[in-house]
Amino acid sequence: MEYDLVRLFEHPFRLHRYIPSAIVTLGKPGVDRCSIELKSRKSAGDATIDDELVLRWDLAALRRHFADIDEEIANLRERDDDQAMRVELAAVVVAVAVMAQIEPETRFTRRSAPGTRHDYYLNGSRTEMIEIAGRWKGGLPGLFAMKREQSDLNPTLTKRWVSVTIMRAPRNRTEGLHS
Amino acid sequence: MIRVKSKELDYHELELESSNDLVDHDSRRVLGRFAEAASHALQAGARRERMGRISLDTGRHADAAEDWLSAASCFLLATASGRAAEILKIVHGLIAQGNVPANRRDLHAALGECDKGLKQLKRKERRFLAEFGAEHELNRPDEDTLRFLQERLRDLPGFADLHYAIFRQALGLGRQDLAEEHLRWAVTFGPGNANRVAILGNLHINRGRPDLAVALGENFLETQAANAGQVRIMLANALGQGTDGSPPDQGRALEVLRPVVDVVAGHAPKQRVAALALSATFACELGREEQFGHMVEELNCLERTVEAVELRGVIAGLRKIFERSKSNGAAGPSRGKSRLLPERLKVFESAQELNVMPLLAA
Repeated sequence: MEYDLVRLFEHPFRLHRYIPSAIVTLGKPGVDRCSIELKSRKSAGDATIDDELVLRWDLAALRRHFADIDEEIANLRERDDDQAMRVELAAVVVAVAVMAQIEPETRFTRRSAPGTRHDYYLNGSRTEMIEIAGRWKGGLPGLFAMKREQSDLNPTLTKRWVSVTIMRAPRNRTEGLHS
Repeated sequence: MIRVKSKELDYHELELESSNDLVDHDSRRVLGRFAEAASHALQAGARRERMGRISLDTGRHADAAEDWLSAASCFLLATASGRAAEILKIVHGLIAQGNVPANRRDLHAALGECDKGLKQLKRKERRFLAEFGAEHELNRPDEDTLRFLQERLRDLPGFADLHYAIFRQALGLGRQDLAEEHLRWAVTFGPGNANRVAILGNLHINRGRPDLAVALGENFLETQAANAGQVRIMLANALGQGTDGSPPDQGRALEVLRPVVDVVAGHAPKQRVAALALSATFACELGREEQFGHMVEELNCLERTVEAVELRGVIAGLRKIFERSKSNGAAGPSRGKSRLLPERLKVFESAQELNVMPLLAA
């Protein structure tokens, strides 16, 4: 499976702003793709699928939509004081890419805010949300369990997802927790 | 029905715009542009606050609580503790009235976290003020102090007092551009502080941008007409200078100054002197003899009654300017356009100095 980062422009708000964080976190200078080991499940009743997702980016194409992209990438490569936040933003990009594969019609339609248990509302609905987390290193199962527990606090959602990514040797787990 | 429809449209627009604000916040913050990030968070908070109001108006109480908790989180990101506290109080009220279902454990947990976040933020603000006051000499700008302050931006982005402190330090060190940048942020995050708005306006005037000073002043008066003496004087000063495209507007300047000239109570003697001196200048230039005479007479009264010897000296100096102008026949409009007082710049400078609090004490 492949996902071109230019597709972030398909979503109704400025998710493409996170592209520099994703490129700096997942790719070295001069590299234009990154392979991510993926474990996904469409809903609580479905089987888990193991797969590989390749994120790719064409800077020349991105530049046409995002004039400051080179400057932002350069700035992020020079800074190491906000790695945790950069990794979180990269995890959002990975989650969007994964969702495009397992439920292609899904759109990220609203950014939530800290404290509301999930990070994004989906498909213009108040009852469909996704919680996203990213870490540079660590265990995927532990992070996933923590985020699932957080999501469980809101039982009124008809569809809810958790997507977590470990970046150092990139791997992602994304599951629909609804039945 | 139309009304509800329109509210829904408003809601969705706010939803989208506030999402963009939050994404902008994240993408600026990760680049270390903390003040810029905070300004986006503040904007997001304001929009989410309006969303909460719309949800409440349409009877969706749990959604209102969710929107307002989101707004409070945004305000916390922008170090706007006062606004976060106001919102959280409303959410506590909704819960106390039983308007948020018990099964929304996420909202109850989020409220607890926001309360905790607010306490932590207030503690950080207090700690900063204590630390800054104890360890650094306010009156002696130095690079170490400036660095100390800039490092605090990560924890307290959007804290108007911090941005103002950076402005003062940078100004003292001759770093004009950095000083101006942080004064702008201090005004952005604390728009109700008349002294800081007046200082920023004066900076615009002194850097040859009276049009920006006029916009700043007029905007301030639209939202806060009371206790605006300092801004009125700055604005009159800017209007009196004229801009590249338009001549001095002495008539509007006189209108702007009227509350400071007419109402003695609530205005410091220095402000009244500044307002009277500017008003006398403009009345003179417009050929309003009677008004000019009245302003000069008021200045004379003040010279006799003010206690500060220094201020009496300033008034005496201003009075001499007006006497000279009158004897030289400068007052009164020439045909077609107003004649300008030869020493008007001296009056403007005096008014500027009298108007704002000393930078290192403000």
